[in-house]
Amino acid sequence: MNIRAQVSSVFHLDKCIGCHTCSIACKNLWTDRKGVEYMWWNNVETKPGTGYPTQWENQEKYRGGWEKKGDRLQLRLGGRGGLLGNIFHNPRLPTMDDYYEPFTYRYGELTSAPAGNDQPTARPVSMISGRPMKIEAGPNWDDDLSGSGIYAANDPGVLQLSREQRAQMFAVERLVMLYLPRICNHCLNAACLAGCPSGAIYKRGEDGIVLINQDKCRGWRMCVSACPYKKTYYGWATGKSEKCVLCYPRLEVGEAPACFHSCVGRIRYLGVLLYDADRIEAAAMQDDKDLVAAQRQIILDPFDPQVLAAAGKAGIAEQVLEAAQRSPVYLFVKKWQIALPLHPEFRTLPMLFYVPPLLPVVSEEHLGTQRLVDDYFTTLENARLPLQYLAGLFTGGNTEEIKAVYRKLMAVRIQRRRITVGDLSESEVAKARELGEVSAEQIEAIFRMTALTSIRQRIVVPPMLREQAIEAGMDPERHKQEMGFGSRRSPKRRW
Amino acid sequence: MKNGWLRQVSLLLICYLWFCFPPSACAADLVDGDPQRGKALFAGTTSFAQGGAPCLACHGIAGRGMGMAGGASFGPDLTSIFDDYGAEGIVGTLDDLTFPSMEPIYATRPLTAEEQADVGAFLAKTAEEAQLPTVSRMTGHVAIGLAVISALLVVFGRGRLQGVRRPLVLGVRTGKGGRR
Ligand code: SF4
Ligand code: SF4
Repeated sequence: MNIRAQVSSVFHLDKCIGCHTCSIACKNLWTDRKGVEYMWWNNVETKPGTGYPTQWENQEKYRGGWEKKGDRLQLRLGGRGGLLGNIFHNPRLPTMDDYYEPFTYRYGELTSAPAGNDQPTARPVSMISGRPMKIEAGPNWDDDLSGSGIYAANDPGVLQLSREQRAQMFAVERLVMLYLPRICNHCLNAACLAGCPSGAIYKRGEDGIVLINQDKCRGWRMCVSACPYKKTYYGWATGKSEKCVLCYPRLEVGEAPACFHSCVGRIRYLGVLLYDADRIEAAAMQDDKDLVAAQRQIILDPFDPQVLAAAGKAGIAEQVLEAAQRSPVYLFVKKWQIALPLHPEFRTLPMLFYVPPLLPVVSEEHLGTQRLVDDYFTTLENARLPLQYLAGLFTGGNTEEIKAVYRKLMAVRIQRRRITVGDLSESEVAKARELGEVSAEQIEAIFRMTALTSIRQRIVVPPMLREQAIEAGMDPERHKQEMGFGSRRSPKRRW
Repeated sequence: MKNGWLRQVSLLLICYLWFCFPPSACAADLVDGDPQRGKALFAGTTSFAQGGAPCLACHGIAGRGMGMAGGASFGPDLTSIFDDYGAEGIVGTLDDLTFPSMEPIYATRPLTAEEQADVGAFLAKTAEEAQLPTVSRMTGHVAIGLAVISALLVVFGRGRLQGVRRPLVLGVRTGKGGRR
């Protein structure tokens, strides 16, 4: 057993209201600079939809993630020789247009226009060239338009459904959508890291955050192609690639990452998971349908004395283990098993998990309003959002796995409805619990964690113990006085 | 226009005549020189008596394939130096190498009279016999090189991602791709 700690997260999709506050918080903090205008380390996309960059899930085009080659895993981008051969000419990069050309408006012209008969207008201009431009796309161009004929219809997940399923999905009375907020998943088997020819990307030993060393990055952009989630971006002004840093400077002082902190829907949970690093490769080698279960298996129980002893030996501090025991992520992912990784079939073992949304699946239209269907038990088979679509998103196509999650979520609904509305019989509730394989207490716990938590329960930042790390080299007090931020060189082209 | 054309032809003719009957002459005291020994001195297989550096250290002779790879490129190429300087010029120069970059070396390590004669004879022979790569041959090489590079670019660039969003939108609008 080789135990490591990973700061991971859960996004509860039923709670996301699609307000994009998270994206803006992130942009203001990290990507409000020249050369990174188009980057959204946090973006929220509407599903069905092609996302950002366009059709990022289509690995036939972008060649991100891993594939099985015999009994080995290989980057879909190619082997070492292939990477080297393409090093000056990486053929699998999204174009600026696939993200979108960032734009602003000439607001000054609204106030400086001379008096006249026409309303002054602010023309849109490109933030890259400064020239007037026609706005054709944005990072969530089709926001809320789940039925659109271009972007929703060409969602790679939709394209793999049968013709009937598609017709059903896009029937006007049944149109439905969900929001999918995405950040870097800080994967266990990160493809970005494996693709980097300069060895500039590393996964921090103490918390598993994946970072790009700005001094070592040479701008080859292999990580941009290799990451199947398209969550590393090339900054054209510095000539370096950048990605979500999970706000590690905030974590190190005990604060939640900015997107977590600002989330209006309070959908975001954060906590430490313990996992067995020796089993990463075996887990990533499973068949598509077994990937979720395999990933769940290498996550370890922080209450198991054996695990705790091994973790202590591996050098994980007691305070971190304590934080792992309070981790809401552990509850969602391992104990309740209602949170799933996004696209496990990319085989990077992403460590951001999603509770799939219940409402778009089991709601119906009734006299012009949306409400929950009366018959919970049979709706899964002809769910409003086809289960295959959700299985394509969260379980590598395994519909049984996603059904199990929905049965649990529905049991929570039914039991709570009996308590708050009182129109269901106890036998119905018992049947729901039996189907969902959850106990009444678990349901209560899920409900409380979903709806009635404080930020300290949702976001359990482990102590990062910077002082201890510094102590090894010098007196922490002296370090504070003398080192400032340490020696830093601004990221820019140096070759 | 017509005149221009004529002028070009006459210029070409003059060039051709120069090429066939180069205005070179062998100086009297170069006659005693041995071009074979001159060549050895030039290339450094025989050292200069006074210890001066061999010519090839800085100068190439493209016409004889010496120092062609760009190694000997500090000084100018000497293939046709004899034609430019003439016998007298060569004799004078070899006797007294007063170029700013050569003087520090050869002022204290001059070439002996015999060496001067040998090297001079070698240069004279070189100018006579050497074949400079002709322009047409070079053009051919350049063309072949370009063709090979473009072919490689085409081969490697074929699978390159050409953008996703725009083709998708165009495809849907024209009914040629995408769905719906
Ligand atoms: S999601 Fe993050 S850690 Fe995973 S491959 Fe992409 S950039 Fe790397
Ligand atoms: S801030 Fe929260 S609720 Fe709003 S879009 Fe982001 S994840 Fe969803």
